[in-house]
Amino acid sequence: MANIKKLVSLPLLIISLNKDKEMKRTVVFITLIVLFNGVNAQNSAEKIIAGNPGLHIGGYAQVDFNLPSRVGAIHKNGTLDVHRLVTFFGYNFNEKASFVSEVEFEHVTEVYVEQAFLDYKIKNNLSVNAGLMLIPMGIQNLYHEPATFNGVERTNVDKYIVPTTWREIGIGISGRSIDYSANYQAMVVNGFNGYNEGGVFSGDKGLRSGRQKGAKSYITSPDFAGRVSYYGHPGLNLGLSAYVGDTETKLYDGLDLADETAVASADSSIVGMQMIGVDARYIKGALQLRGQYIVANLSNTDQYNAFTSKDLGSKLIGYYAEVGYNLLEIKSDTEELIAFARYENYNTHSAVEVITINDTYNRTDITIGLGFKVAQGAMFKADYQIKSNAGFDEKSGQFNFGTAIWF
Amino acid sequence: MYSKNNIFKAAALTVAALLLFSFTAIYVLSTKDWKKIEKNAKAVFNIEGLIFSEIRNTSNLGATRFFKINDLGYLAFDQAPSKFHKFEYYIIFDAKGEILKVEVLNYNENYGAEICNKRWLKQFYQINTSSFFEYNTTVDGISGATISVQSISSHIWNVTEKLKGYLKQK
Repeated sequence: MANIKKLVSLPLLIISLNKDKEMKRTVVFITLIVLFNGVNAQNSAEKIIAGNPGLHIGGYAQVDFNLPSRVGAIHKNGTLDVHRLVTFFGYNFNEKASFVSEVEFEHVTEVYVEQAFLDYKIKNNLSVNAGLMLIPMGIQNLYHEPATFNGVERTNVDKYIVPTTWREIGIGISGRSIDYSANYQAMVVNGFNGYNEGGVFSGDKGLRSGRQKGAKSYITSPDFAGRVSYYGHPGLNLGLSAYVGDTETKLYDGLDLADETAVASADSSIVGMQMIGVDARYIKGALQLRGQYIVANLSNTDQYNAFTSKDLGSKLIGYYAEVGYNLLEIKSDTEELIAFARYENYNTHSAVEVITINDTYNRTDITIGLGFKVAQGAMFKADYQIKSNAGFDEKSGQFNFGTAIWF
Repeated sequence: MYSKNNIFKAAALTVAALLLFSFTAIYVLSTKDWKKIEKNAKAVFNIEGLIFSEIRNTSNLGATRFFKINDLGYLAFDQAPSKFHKFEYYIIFDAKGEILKVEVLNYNENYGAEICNKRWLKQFYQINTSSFFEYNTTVDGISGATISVQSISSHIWNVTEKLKGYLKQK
């Protein structure tokens, strides 16, 4: 940073050089400085041991116990799972350049890279980012650490509509305006894999299976994502996110552009995307409110479904509203006991082209639960979910218990 | 022998100065930030022609830079850590060391940027700094910005303590 200057505390040295007999002391003093400064000549392991200020280590994890209720006489087993364990490594090379990485172990056996990008500050409050980055859409895709949200599992809007954790390789800017109390992000990123020896998207899961996650991902046309969040009113955080672009297709690889039939069939494997999300979080004393609304408009789904025999909807809508109350607000400064209730609806067949609407894709979850925050970033969670869909009258229930940490 | 010693001393001093350079960093403001502070100080004291004179040679003040503003009050600025980076802020005090204004000048990551909110920072104006416990329970938390909230509130407390200590000495 240009406006950082290094100053020297000279008086100490001048005193030590006032008299010849003090020279020994000077030598000792300098030797000490040399030894002290020798910390610079280290390998990476030593840097970690020495607590190098440039290095940041962190992580988050959630370990879950899910217990579905019996449906009539049908018993269902519970599951116990280290759902995710993520290690964070960041390194500040200097005042301007820093690297952020997150490596995720999911269900113990699957390994993913969740983030890996270089952040370069081009001026105060504005950085360029390049690498594998989170798509700024809604609350949980960006703030997905389990100690930051209520409920054992992430919200299903942020699974079926926004395919959290949604990340792709790209380049973008991220900045802040302190005067307007706003953060903003804009990026050019790789799109979903929509066709890979067959259609990838589905009516049930929407776009979720198309995430390329930076793993040997391929591209024909880049997509655009952006988000603005406003925090001008204390306790309130408002977000507006947008994503536009086309999905990618393997059929474009090696495509002869002169062959009209081949081009036409390759074009049928592409879906156009426009996703918009608004979200709000509000906290006042013991009261915590949050909500989110996401809509994705997809084009060319008629051709896509005809070509791939899939049942992808042309409009995906999801929203939730949640009320939480910290029962320990007055009693404790360090601990929180949050009781919450959430209503959530996510419909991957909000509209369709040509095909008929499948009502079972119009799903509603009601979740009530408790979160006991024993420290900032450490939580025990318990909740009960009632799940239903518009296609069946019967509801299903599930208990969830979990341990959530973030540091 | 005498001159040899002098050369040795000069060399030693240079080496020591260079080495000290590498880990003594004091934050210096950009012109743009200075203009912002001057403008806001003018608004706080409602007076033209403010003179900022730096208070030096008091080791108790640490890395924070303090300025006397005429006989009206004081200015302090410094850096504090957010989650991964550092942000820059300044505080304007009255002549008794009570806080009149706090502002974040630059914030270097999106995490925790909510602490830059001017209306949130207003809670520090004239805040009671007689006991840390009372002070700390007065400060409103921000969900998702815990680290930065704790960072700025403990910095504001420490800087105020340093200034009040200095004012007592005087």
